[in-house]
Amino acid sequence: MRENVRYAGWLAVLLPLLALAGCAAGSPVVPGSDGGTGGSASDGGVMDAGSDAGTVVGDALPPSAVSFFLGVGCPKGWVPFMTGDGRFLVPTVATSPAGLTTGTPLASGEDRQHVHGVSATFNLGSTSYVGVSGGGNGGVTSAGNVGMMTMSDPASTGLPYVQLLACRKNTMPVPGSAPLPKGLQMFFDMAACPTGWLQTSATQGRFIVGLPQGAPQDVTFGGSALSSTDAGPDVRTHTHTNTATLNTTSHGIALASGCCGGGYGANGTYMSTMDTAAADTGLPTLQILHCEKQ
Amino acid sequence: MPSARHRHLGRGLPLLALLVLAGLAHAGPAQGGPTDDGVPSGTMAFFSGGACPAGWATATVVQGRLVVAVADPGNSGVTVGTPLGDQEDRQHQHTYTGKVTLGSDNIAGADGSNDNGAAAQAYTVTGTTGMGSSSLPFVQVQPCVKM
Repeated sequence: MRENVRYAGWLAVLLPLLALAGCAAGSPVVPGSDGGTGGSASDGGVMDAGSDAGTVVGDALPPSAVSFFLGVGCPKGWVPFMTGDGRFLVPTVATSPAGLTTGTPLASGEDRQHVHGVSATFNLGSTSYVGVSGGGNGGVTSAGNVGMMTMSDPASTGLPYVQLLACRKNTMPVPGSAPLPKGLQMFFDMAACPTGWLQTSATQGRFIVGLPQGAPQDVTFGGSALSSTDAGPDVRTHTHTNTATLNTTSHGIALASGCCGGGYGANGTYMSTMDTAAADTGLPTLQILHCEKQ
Repeated sequence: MPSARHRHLGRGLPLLALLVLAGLAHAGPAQGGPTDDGVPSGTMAFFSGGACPAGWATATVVQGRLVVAVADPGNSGVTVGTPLGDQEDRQHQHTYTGKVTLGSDNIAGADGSNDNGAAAQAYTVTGTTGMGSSSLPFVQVQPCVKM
């Protein structure tokens, strides 16, 4: 009986210790295969002061990852990505430098406007009078070309967007129970993709649009991919054209039509091709490396 | 003949081994359940291939839209404009107002009833440009959010 009591007491002490040891062995910081080759990751994982001593909390994404979040704040181990604030993140092309920006950041909810120079040239027809050119009546105009140059009114491109919190991972990865899914695309604030990731192909130099429901995936459209070099970012411009109309009013002259006071501008409706100067949209961008999990 | 002490020790050792194994098996990774990939809940990411993997769902707020990064969580979720359709290269146009000034060309004659000539004056020309695209390059990719 006394021996049973002694062994029960021994187990009562040992059991809790074993349980604690098992839990402390979990969630190790693993500088594993998804660890980045650059970036500014400092410490490995984040110690959670609220859990058992020695437990490290974190997530499986590599340091220097830049991701969007639907939530109230950056997760633990992430910080707001200030460099991209108010900008579209556009994947770099091949080895073109990351960090290049265009335009000024959008204010929250801003529908950025832009303008164009507008020009047209009207060719006025000729009319003549039975009379003498010159004299004192300057009420009529001359025949020939007359130009118009002005600025268009501002307009938006109409491109729709959603603002999402962007955060940058500053800690080492803590693996999940399953591997990171193949096909996962992530921006990285670094020069090269981490091990296990390759630079995306279809997205290079393109604005990423969330796939509309039922649409074919990974399809490119619009203009050709941006190509930026060390000389500076590729700022894409566009133009418009149309027909402009000039309606003149008449000025009556007390002379019959005919010879030989000629070369005066004929009253009428004149059409001209209207062209705009090239202008960029003003949409602000940040070029950044885009990688896909293999 | 083993002593009572040795018999108790023999029964206790397998139990100890089981307890140790149970403790270590309980020590899983930091995130989620046994099939979790370790990505934080609420992460929005694009996926090639057109489908969201297990544990992820379509980020419907991103469908047909570009994404603008913001650093203030209070600005997250704001939308501008109407979503694009499949491979839609959104068009836009501008209005304009300009002036055309027709100068004078003198004639030796009084004002009268022959209205064939255009008056020498400034004219306002208004109009609208044709529709045009931004010329920007796009790619449409499946947006997913980690549950």
